[in-house]
Amino acid sequence: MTNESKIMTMKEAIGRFVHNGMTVYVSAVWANQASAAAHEIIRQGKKDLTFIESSPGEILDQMIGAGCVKRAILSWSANEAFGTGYRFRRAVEKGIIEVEDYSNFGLTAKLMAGAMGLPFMPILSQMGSSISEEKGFLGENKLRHVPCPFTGKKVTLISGINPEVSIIHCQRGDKEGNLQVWGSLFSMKWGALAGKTIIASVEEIVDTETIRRNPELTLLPGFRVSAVVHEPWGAHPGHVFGHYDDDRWFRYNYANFFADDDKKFKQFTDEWIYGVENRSEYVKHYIDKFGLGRLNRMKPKPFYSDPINYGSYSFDTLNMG
Amino acid sequence: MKYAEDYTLPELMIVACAREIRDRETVLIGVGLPLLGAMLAKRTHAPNSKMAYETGTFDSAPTRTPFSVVDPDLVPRAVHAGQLTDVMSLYLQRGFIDIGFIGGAQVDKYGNLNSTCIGNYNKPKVRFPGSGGAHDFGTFARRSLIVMVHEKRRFVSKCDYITTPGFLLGGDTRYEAGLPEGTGPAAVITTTGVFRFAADSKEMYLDSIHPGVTLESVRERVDWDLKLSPDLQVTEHPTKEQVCIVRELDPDGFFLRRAEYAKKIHLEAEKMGWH
Repeated sequence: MTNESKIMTMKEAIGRFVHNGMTVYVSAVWANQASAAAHEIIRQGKKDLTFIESSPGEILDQMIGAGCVKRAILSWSANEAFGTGYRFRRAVEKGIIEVEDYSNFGLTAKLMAGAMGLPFMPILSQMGSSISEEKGFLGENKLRHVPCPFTGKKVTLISGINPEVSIIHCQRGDKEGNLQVWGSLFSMKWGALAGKTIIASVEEIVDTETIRRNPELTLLPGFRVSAVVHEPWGAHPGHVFGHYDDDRWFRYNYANFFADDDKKFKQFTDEWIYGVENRSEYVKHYIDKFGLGRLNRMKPKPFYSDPINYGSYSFDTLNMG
Repeated sequence: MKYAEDYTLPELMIVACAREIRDRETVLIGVGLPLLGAMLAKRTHAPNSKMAYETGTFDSAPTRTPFSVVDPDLVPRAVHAGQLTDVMSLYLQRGFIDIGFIGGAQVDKYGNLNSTCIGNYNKPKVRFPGSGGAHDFGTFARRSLIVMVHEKRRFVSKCDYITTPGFLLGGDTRYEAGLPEGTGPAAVITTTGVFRFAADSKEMYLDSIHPGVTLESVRERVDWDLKLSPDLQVTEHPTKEQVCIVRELDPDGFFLRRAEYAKKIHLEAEKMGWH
């Protein structure tokens, strides 16, 4: 059983595991953002999703614009330093989506509680603010302030969450779903582990021996993972450490010239989401339109960390007799 | 002559941000001008300051100016690449971060900040991005530094929503609400001047006014009876060296020449038949 391959296409993974009305975590904070998965969710026309992520960028903006999202639990959303998240903003102002706001720490603590199997996580922020006073669709289940049972001092309890599906993008994984990432992870570890079902796209499929030589890079072991999708450029226009930089030009274009206007937004989604079958067609379209040079320019020169020595142990090294 | 004669208002604000940072301090940064301010401080009077980012990166050594906290260049050569909860709990919540830079759409006279919405929370007239890490920075940093454009609609008597707590209702109300002692807003750096907070009442006052700005125009843009420092100064001009470094940090105008930058992007996209 454990050696059974979990490798499948994105179409199959989203079709099998993501259903209307579910609560879904999607890694969407630019580093290792699951763009390919989000686009497939849009193509399959999933509806009424509750989306959770700490500070989602254009992925959430596009999923909202395409009508997939009913509710969002987040702490921040915009097209990052490049512009307002117009789809997000309008949908909230028009009452098309409902929002529940935490801070970045509060939101990540919520995922952390879920990931650890705890009903809540105690933290010391969210006090003295409207984050604690104003409740959205979670109502009284959003958070509570209680006196610490030991000191009597005020503590915030953030209710935990276990999304039905968590979707992330990683540098590499094997066919069993052992997943490895490096770089700065933002909320991704807790977002992934909180999920009941986990789907991962990876830049590279490697053999299990490669995973075993670098066990500290493992975000989560394969027994937690249901689907692995081989998806090079799966985070574009976000970045993946060691693989490609941010596509600032593409991103700035979306934020400033397509997101704001209904017709332009439709033009964007028709071209980059509905107009392609999958991520490899998306990449092909990018090359056809802008040239291979423009794509390859985003690949950074290698900057290797030094190999570390774990040591190889045997009965002999135990120093007995 | 040490001082620059030719500089822009955003450049003055960046320098004002930099001047708040002392050497060896730990600084948490979000997006925008403070990022340039922190980089400037590090290259001038605070070479041993350490920058932390909520992405989980600590003491980065970027080779280019990061466009934001998620710039991948913040990771190679950093001292630590961790995750959000590392920075937010192990450093920030424990009280080890000196400075947190935050922005907002509205601020009131006790330094409470709104970056979430105008109008009713559940059916807002205008929705902004939301807290991000700002609430946590403003809760736990020893000194939070607020950076804003100064307009009348932004300096309000009451925020529509308090995203990041300042001194709440003044006096000790911040600490009575459970926020840690020895924390709170230290300055508001704006397009008209630099504001600070009175030691006891915690009410905001004008501490320095930018060169060329009149007191009347500052007062006009504040929705309460603004107090002034008895020792009101004109904001120190940037030095030639500071202006020179700020311009080096923003070679393509991404931060400081937005219109020009947008035009360049548009023209290139047009050339490729995309717009």
